[in-house]
Amino acid sequence: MTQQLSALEREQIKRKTTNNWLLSMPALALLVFAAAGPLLIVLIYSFLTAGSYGGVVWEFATEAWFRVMFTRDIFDDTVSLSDAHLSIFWRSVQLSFLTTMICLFVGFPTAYYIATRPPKTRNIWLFLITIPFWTNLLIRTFAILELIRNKGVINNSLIGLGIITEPIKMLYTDLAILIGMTYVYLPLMVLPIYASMERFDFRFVEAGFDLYATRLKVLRKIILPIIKPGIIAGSILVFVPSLGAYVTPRILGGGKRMMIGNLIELQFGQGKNWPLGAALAVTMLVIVMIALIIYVRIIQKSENKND
Amino acid sequence: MISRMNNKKGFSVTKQYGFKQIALICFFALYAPILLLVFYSFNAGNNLMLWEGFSLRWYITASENQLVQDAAIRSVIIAVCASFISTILATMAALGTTRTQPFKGQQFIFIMINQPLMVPEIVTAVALLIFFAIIKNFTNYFGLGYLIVAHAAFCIPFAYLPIKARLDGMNLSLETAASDLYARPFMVFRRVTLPLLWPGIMAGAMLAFVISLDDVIITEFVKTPGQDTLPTYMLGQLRRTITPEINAISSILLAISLLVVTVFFLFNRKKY
Amino acid sequence: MIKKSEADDAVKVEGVGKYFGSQPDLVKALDHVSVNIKRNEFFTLLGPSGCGKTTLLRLIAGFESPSFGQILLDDKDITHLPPYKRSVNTVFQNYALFPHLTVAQNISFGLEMMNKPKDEIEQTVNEMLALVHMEELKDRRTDQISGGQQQRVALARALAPKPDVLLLDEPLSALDYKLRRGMQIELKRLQLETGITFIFVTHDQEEALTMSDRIAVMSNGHILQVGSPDEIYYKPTKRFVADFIGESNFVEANISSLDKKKKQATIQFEGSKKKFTVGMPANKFADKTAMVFIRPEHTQLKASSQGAAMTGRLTDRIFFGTDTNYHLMLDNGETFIVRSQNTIHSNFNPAIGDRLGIFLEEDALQILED
Repeated sequence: MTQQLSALEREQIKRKTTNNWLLSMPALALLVFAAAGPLLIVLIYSFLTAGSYGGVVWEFATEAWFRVMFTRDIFDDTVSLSDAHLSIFWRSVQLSFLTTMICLFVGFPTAYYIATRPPKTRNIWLFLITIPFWTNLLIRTFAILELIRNKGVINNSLIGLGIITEPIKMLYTDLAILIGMTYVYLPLMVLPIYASMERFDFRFVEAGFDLYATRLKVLRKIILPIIKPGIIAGSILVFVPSLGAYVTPRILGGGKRMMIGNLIELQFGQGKNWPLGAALAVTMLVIVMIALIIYVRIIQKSENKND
Repeated sequence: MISRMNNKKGFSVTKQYGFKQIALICFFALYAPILLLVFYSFNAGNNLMLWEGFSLRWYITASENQLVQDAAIRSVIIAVCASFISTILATMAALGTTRTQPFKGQQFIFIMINQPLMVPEIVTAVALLIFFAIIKNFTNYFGLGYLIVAHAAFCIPFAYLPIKARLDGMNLSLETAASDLYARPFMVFRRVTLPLLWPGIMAGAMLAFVISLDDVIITEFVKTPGQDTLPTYMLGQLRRTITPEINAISSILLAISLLVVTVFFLFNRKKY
Repeated sequence: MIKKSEADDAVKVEGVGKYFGSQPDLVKALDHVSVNIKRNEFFTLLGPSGCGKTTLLRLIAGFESPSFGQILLDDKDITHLPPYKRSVNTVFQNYALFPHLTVAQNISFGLEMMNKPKDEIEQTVNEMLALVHMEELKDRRTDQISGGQQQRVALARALAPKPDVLLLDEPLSALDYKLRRGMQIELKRLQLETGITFIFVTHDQEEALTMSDRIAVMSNGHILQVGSPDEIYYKPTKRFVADFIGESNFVEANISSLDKKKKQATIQFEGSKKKFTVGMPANKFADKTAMVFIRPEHTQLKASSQGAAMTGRLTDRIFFGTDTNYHLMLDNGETFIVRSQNTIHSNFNPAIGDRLGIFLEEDALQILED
């Protein structure tokens, strides 16, 4: 008497698995070739020596990794922390964090509002929030540029209204990058929170009210804990791209206010230090991976709590 | 215990103070800059912010600009090819990973397919720059191939998601019924699975098209000088003199995106 | 009308088992099941959910393979044949109609897959539409018709290819009562008219009793008993079967004497002198007491306990229109149900709490194998 699956069934399962893999192979092959695979090359390049005119020399070196955080004084060889790099790292983390926070404070009520509309209007609101999402990043950044330049809409209107006489300098500041990134990534915060809110059963809230809770308490103690996964998903979806932002800081920050992305690009352009660029890219990747793992852990923990 | 809900007239369980206001401000803030941008594309004057009357001159200038024409054609070619390739690949992958018993390596496939969504674009861009530089050294090929391949790759997850979502919602019993009615596996696919999946496939293709059309960073790094797409052309212009020509191009791109997203929404709502 | 032939077996299930998972979470959906289903018969698999009836149906259809055992169709081994190679069609519980095809296109699907010539397909489709009275709706999309109509389309679709066996997986469970009754009559009529072997799965014992030529009662992956509705109802061999179909009473009785050759025992109920002779299955010979089974309608209630088999106190009266169920509490604490047909002139009107005499039809008493 057989206790386990018969040999026939095991064979069927193996055949099905093979089929599934065969179907997925082409997609995987392309992704390995043009997305995941090259990442390994980046890692390798970060351990090579920079060529004089860009490119690399195939000699093993850890110089690039050293240069990520430290500098060596040209004259007396003392090692110190690279101020330039560190300030860029700090700016990136700071701005990404602030962007995420602002998006959260604006995005959560917005998602909440959309989710609590009647079904017919809700689709229209969803459509409206989705459109900016599919609009070119460049166009959106450019639109902000138009707003905040010295001769931009905001300054012109303020001057025209007589509120100020000199234009407020907003462009090419950290503030400009912050405004730009918030504007660009806001829909990415709204959509996951909306997805969570849509599944939320408002009868929990009714129960809360029935037990004399105030609106604020209901929000804090009932709604927020349940839709936490959506909030975290949105935060990750904003934080990660912000950290890796390139176009927005380039256009709105000018050459002087760089984020990690711009620093990386510099090494492949004027900086002519491909290994350093590679090392920086790997560093960014590691930070992002850590953020993602934290996210997955939190999701798993909240799912375990719900059991 | 008298529920408070009976006391207040029209008590809304869902209302929270200030949320409506913030939401409306949010929508306004999202659209105002773009609408302004479109508005000023019709500016008759040279100066970006000084309104000198309504005119279509910048649209005409843009359409007559050789560089813009080349960039536009290139953008469309790449987007069409990339969306075609990625949709086919994504469809196959979706068929292999959905509505099936969990199998060995399924998680891995999932991560690999969604990997472009998880890795910052600049990192991928740099990686491809390096990788293709090596290939260019060996083969001396400098054509559009690199861009198409790169775009197809990162479009896969975008095509994959709507297709998988559609497939998830399709009851396997339909395919079982077809098989019961003497349809061999290929016929089941052709006569039942494919027709029902089609709206999802179209939605995926639309998404991939828009994503490819809009891409800036990877295209900027992978292209050879002179191989501009519309977004990289605009990026270049932004470094020099900015004229309302950019507004005009932006408005056209916006219109295309808007059109495609609308079609996408319609495909997604199709019931069967 | 096609005569029911007793001749060959349409489907033979031999020692079939279906296991899911592996130790220690092994689920035995079917455990060594064997049954022969005759040609032209309306055969029902009856049992509670989880008993394995749907699994068995799916194995016959070919949607899954058994872990061991054999399935024969017309004496040909089809155990591992894919569904599209078996001359067996299924009516699914959720109908599984193709939403992107019209009613007519659904019905013609199987015929198209068999590569039948176009005019033959058209003719058959029209026949089928007439058979299930759906001619007017033939060009409608299937999501635009009612549940009952969908059911009929599913039926027509499965009958169109003229299969050897038709499988029906609880097809009536989604219909409301009236529709259900109507469809039961329809199905029975269809089976008689087409002569196709029907294998019907249900958990509704009333449905099984009214429609079937034979019933297989299943529980926990086993077939407990196979027989005609009569046999199953009046001569259940296992307690589960007796309990599952209709209402039943089980009372413990003392065995005063045993005749092993005739396989009979003389029994007496607690507190009564009345003796009964009951058939005794061999595996119970060693027992001191017997669990006796009798249906409520084979018992009678009288105001006096003179010569009664047992006495009980009335705890409840339930009026069914044609009959009344009397619920009683016996002296030993067990419950008992007596069912009587209502007559217009009756002077028997006991009150709750009354002590009444319970009288049993000796021929209806049974001691079951388990």
